[in-house]
Amino acid sequence: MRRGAGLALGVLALSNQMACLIWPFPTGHLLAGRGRITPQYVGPLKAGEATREDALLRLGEPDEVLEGGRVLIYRWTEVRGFLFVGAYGGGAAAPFPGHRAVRLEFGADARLVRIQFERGTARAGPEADGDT
Amino acid sequence: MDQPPVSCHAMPGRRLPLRSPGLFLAVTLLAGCTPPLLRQAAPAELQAEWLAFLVTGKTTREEVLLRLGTPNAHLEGERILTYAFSRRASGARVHERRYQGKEGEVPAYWASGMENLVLVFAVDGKLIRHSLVVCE
Repeated sequence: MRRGAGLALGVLALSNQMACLIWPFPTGHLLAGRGRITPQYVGPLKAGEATREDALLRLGEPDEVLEGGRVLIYRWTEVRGFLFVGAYGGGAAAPFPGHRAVRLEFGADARLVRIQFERGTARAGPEADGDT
Repeated sequence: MDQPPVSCHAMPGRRLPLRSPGLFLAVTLLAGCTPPLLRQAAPAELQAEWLAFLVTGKTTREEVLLRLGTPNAHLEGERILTYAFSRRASGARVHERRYQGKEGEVPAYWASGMENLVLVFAVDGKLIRHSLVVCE
């Protein structure tokens, strides 16, 4: 009984000195990549009209070139929030990343077929086979 | 007859939205949190000294390669070249390269505040279009 009370007191004391807090607000700070691409920014690139050249002039160098230039992918990583771990007299915080990408697909005539916003993947799919 | 503009302070029945404490707190917390966005440089920026040698219909690919060095990427053969630069506090630009991070990840630029110069050449090797994509 005496041991159980001591254990409970220990847990209570420890809980008062340690804390873990997830700060879920995306600050939007850039962890990797060259900047966030918004739907508004790619708005002028219309499917069936815009060419690969137009896309490159507007978005710059892609991060991945797949299928011989038929697919261009732009990637960036933002801060999606912070994990704070604190103890009495000290603490640490680490950002957790949010991976974002825009995928542009072109037809055989080099005109834009589709723009797709993706999230959650930092890795390349198939090995880039463009001529970059 | 035109009415003079009416400010919010002149309307006693209307409260400013930021008087709400919760909204004020949210705006304060999120202020300055806008991530760097891409934008195309304005025509005046393309005429800056370091880009002044780029003249549409005149500058050749050879001149660009001699002046700026090896491009970061080339697409559609050598028709489209791209260069990546970062800007120092002094205003000087440094040619950047991609670095491999973790195994399997796409090589990325580590510098922040990147600028991306995209140059499109005609079949005869003359510059036909160019743009500077800025992250800020």
